[in-house]
Amino acid sequence: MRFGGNDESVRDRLAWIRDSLGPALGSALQCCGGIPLRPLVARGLTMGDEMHQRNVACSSLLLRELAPALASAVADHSDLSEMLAFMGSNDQFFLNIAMAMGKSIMDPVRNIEQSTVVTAMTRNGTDFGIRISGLGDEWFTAPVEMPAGLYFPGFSAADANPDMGDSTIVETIGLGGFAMAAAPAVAGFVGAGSVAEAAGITARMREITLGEHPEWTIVSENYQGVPTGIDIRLVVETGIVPTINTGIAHREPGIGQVGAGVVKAPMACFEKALRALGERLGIS
Amino acid sequence: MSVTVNIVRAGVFLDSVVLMQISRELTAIQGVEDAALMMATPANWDILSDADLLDEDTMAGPGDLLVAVRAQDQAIADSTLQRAAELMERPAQQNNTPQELRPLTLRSACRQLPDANLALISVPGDFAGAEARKALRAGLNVMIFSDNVSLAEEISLKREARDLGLIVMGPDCGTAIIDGVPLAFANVVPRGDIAIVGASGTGIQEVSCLIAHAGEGISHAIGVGGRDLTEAVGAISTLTVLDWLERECLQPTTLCSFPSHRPLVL
Repeated sequence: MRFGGNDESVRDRLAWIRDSLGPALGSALQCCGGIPLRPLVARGLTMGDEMHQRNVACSSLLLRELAPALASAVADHSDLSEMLAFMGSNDQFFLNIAMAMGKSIMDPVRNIEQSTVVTAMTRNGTDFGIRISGLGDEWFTAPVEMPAGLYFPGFSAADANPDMGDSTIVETIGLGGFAMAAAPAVAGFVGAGSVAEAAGITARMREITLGEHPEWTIVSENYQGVPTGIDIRLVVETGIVPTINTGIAHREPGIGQVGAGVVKAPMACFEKALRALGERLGIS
Repeated sequence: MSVTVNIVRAGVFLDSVVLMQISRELTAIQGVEDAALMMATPANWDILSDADLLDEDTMAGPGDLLVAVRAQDQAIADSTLQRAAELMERPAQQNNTPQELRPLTLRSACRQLPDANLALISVPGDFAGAEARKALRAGLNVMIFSDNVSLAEEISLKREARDLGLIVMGPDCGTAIIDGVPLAFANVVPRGDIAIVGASGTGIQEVSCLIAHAGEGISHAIGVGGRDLTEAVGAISTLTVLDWLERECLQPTTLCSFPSHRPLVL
């Protein structure tokens, strides 16, 4: 189900991924010994991807790495051709991988005593939830906000569902809205899309993060790393919430994505988490 | 009867966000029912078809840019296509030079200025203590311009500063000159070898002016806050300044002046 799309073509595609593409990708990855994602993302950032709304470069780089192994793994030429065409025609293919990567990066950060680092952010169309390291698997939730953005032909803000999806894991690791300066065009979903606006958004995210990624750098910022490691104390203290780049789903089931834009995480999640951690540590 | 017009720009590529922005502008035109600019990929072709924006005779491939307008009549459709062409050829906006990014917090200010050694705090008194403490812990001397900082907070901050080898000037410190650099309100006076330590207001300003009139100059004028010389505070900041002067951390200074309406209780 993609953005609520659930017609036969969607179901057929999912079945094909389960039965054909998935196993083929599995064999290809085993055959080539895996593909390191960190350097791939580093290159994608220099090519204008932020890995949430922009995955053109990384999708292409991945296909380039994967194609030889996939060709070895898939005997039938027409099957192979279909798989290459599927990956090659979807600019957002890499988002799926970026999300899994995000989860693998943040999961080991869970359950560090007293840590105020955000380990997950997600939304389900009604609530926005965060987890912080010092409080394990507990979710701190608040009502989601409406994304602001641009719509596909035939749709408008009246069709939009409140913010939805678990792709915010990429912001949790310092990509997406946090890496806006690497992909200035994406800032155009809410503003003019200028380099200055994009840089301003990344700069604001630097106010709420503990560090910068040493390898994921932004060329136009003199190779400064993307801001990473959201600290709820900094969010609450500065009043700056994470900026999230997102797709916009239709509010009726079955229609799918109708636009894309930018949304803010609700402050209440961070306040609740901070209070809960304070209580846990005996700080009032 | 509405009119649907498609124009194909073969081999032209524009960024999808730019195209969506232009589409939004066209859709807002009076008499336009819907409008879209998209690269004619198979996926986009489906979207345009669902939106009833395709002319059945249109031929385009994934490398072509498709301009599609559905309008109330032909004249509106034509003028909208004209507008689309203008918007596509519009030169880049001039606001795309990165402006200097001003730090929003002390933390990022310190990152921008790693050699900074003093913070001037001017926030409502209830919050001044917390900000001052952050500054001290970042290794900065502190001048607290804010008033309404409690005595207990002042004592606590000054003790922490002393332990860190730093100074807290203030609270309610309205004037200072550090090595010729005026902070908050200060008079333009010549630089010289006289240091002033005072509460932090008009006394320092008056003495600095008198010294200037007498043909001498000021090395530093340091306000320590009106309560520094009280028994409760114990002159912590005053003693720090004297210590620094004695150890020649503050130079060049040969004379030291103490304007104060409190007796020194050293």
